[in-house]
Amino acid sequence: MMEASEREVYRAAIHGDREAFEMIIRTQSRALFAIAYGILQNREEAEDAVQDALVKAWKSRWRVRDPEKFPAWLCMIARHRARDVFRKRRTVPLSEMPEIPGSETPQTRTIDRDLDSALASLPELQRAAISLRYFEEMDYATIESRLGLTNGSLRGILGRALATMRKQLKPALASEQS
Amino acid sequence: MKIHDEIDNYLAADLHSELSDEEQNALHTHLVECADCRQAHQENKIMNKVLEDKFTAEKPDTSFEQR
Repeated sequence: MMEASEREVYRAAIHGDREAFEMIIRTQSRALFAIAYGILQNREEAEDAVQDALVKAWKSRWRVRDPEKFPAWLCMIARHRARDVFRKRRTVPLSEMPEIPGSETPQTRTIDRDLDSALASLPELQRAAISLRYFEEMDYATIESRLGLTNGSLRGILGRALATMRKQLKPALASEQS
Repeated sequence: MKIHDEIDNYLAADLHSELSDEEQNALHTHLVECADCRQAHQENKIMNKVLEDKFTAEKPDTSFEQR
C-alpha cells in the first residue's frame, strides 16, 4: 500500500505537474534501468530505453487512473521499450555486434563470460526479475508489484531462472568450487 | 517431499532471504539429508556471488537519476 504523500505525488504527475514527475523519475529511474538492463545487457542501450520510456510515460500519463498503479505502469513501459530494442537488435548477427570497450579483458573469468550467455538465454521476464533483485536488491513483494505479478509468483520465476543458469554454468561452477 | 520437488524455488528464496523461519528450518533439514540438493545449494551460492559481483560492477552511477 502506497503512503498518502507518495500517492499525492503520483496523482499530481498524472495531472501534469512536471515537478512531481521529475521527483518520480529520481526515485524510479534506477529500477527502470535495472529492468531495461536485464533485458538488453547493455548499459548504453538500457539508458536510452529508460529515457524513451520516460518521454512516452510523460506523454501518456493521463491513461493511468489509479496512482497506486503508476510505478508498475512505468516499469511496463520500460519493459516494452527494452523489448522493442532487443527485437530490433536480434536481426543483427552476434558476430557483427560492436564490442563494448572494456567489457572483455584477458582476465575475464570463464564463469563471467558464461554467466552473460546464460543470462541472455533466459526469458525476458526472468531477466528483468533477476536484474531488479541484483541491481536494486528489491524484496520479492516490491519486484512483484513493479512487474505486475501476482503475489507469490516471483519465487517460482527466480527459482526457474537460477536453476536454468546453474545447469548451463555447471562446468564453470565446478571449477570455482574446487 | 515438498521441498525436494520445489528445491529450485526454495534455494533462490533462501539466497535472497525470502524464506520464513519455518521454511528455512525445513530447507536446511532437507539439505542435510539430500546430497543432490546440497550440491545444487553450493552451486547456487557460488552463482549468487558471481551475479552480485557482475551487477555491482554494472550499476549506474549516482548521477543517472539526474540525466
